[in-house]
Amino acid sequence: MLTTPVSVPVLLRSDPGAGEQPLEILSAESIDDVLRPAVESTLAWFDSEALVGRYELESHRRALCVEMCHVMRSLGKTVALCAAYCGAKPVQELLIKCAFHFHRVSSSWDKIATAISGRQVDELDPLTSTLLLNLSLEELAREDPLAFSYAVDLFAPPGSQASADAVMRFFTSSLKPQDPANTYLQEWHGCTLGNFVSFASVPTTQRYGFPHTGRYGEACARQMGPMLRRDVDRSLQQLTLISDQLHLFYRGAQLFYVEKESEFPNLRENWLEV
Amino acid sequence: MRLKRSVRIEYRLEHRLRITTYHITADLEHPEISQAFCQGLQTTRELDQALSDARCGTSLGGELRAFLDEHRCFHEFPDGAGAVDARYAASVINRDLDYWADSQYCDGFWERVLRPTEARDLNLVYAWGVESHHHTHSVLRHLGEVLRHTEERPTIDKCLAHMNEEWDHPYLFRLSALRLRRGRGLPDLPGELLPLAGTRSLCNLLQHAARKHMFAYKCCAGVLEKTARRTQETRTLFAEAARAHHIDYSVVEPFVKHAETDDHYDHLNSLAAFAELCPPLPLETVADSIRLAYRFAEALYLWNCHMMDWYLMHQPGEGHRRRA
Repeated sequence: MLTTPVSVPVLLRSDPGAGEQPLEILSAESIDDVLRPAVESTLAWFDSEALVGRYELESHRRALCVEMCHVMRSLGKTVALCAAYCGAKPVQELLIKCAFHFHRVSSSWDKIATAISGRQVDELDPLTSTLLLNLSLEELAREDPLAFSYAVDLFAPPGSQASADAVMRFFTSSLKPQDPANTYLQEWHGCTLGNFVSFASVPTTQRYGFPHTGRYGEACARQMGPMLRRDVDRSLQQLTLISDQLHLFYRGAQLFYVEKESEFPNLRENWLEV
Repeated sequence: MRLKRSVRIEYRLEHRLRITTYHITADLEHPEISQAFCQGLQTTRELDQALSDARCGTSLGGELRAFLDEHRCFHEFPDGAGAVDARYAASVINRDLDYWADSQYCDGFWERVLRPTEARDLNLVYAWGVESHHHTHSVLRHLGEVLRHTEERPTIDKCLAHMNEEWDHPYLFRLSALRLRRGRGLPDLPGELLPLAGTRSLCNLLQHAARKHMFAYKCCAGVLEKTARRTQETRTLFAEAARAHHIDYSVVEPFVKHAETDDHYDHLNSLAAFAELCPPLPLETVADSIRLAYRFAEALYLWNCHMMDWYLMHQPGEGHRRRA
């Protein structure tokens, strides 16, 4: 039994969004002031160096890396879903190019997962806790493009130095310097910060095809324009659920790999034969 | 009868074999068990052939068949078949659901609900009330996802009837939470409550299953419905919890009422009822459904852990999240 509180509720020490003036109109800058700190504090969940001790995952670091690969390689689909469900065209275009970028770099995550696990990526199955994190992101994508855009800033969108470095550290703190996965990680990091691919389908629109560089939450807030405080508070609550879900990401790895001693890597099965 | 591929048979000692499945590891002893028999069974996977090849008698055959059947070690779907009758698939999977449902009450959460070691363990009774309030309310969301993916009138009728029989169950759980707070001199719960991420995840997983197939959805939902199938045991369990925490029975009485209501509407076997509406199922869909039901059982375990992580940091009657 764990003796210290294992939930690290970065924001949820008290209920977020205690706005006293729900009908106050917030500018894009004020919206960013409310939501940006949630992303900045949630980035602490990528400090695997500090958290593997808390969750007793020292000897399961490689497993944790593969689980994170499952999250990273799913982002193309999830961001595209948000673009599909969002009504505002400028936000759709902001997100779909980000989705193209995530989809393009997903092959790096396939290679990283294979290098770490020794298995082809289509043989691997995410833990249930990892699937739940992915489903939470999908649900947020469907429900709340503003909160979702801020959540995207956690997972190294194109040109985001702080987030790309945090994701990079999540992996490098668990891998030896000579690990082959490092080569693919460097390749991914370069693609993420370089952001040199235009996703235009015809030469005429070449210059419109580059994904936005920098914070997606801020860009989405700017595109959506002023909002009621109560709606921004609601987005803050949705965003903080992702922080909670990251606790479950680690907790799940602890339950399955430490407590239940599940074998690594977690492989797909024919469930009629189990 | 062929053994599932995941079942492993090993010869251990004289007249003893070890069976390892996804769920259990068990040693069986019988004078007719031999190394040749174990090797034969592990290789051919066919019980009758292995018994015959090793010249075993009917006594071992009968005992072993009963054990392997009880622990669901036999492959129960026709090899090479493209599709199977949904009602047959439901009857097979229902046995798995019974097993998982029983295992839900064998974890640290229920241990502390039934045999508290310190005063704050009472907050797990409160957690069960508050978070089950959210989970039962989410029936509108996940059954709604089934509705979104069907045009069939009988399925639409079934979903709306089911919603009609369940939409107000959240009030039972909220009532329990309120009574616990009142018992401790705390004010009523104002405003809208918000679920823990773990609670919300259960709904996300059910919606995910609903998007795949109604049958997959009911396999998942069935895991939790089955936990309440023994209504008399549910009465005993919660009465015992109330005594252990020295609280009035009225606090846990709504939990019992919930099980009795599900029993009354026959929701405890609703996989079979929904399967009546399904056309023959491709075996891939059956396999996906079993996988998702496993996932849901694991998610329930994770949920219990999350409730402990969060609510044990708070005093009894506290820890709920709410919209300010």
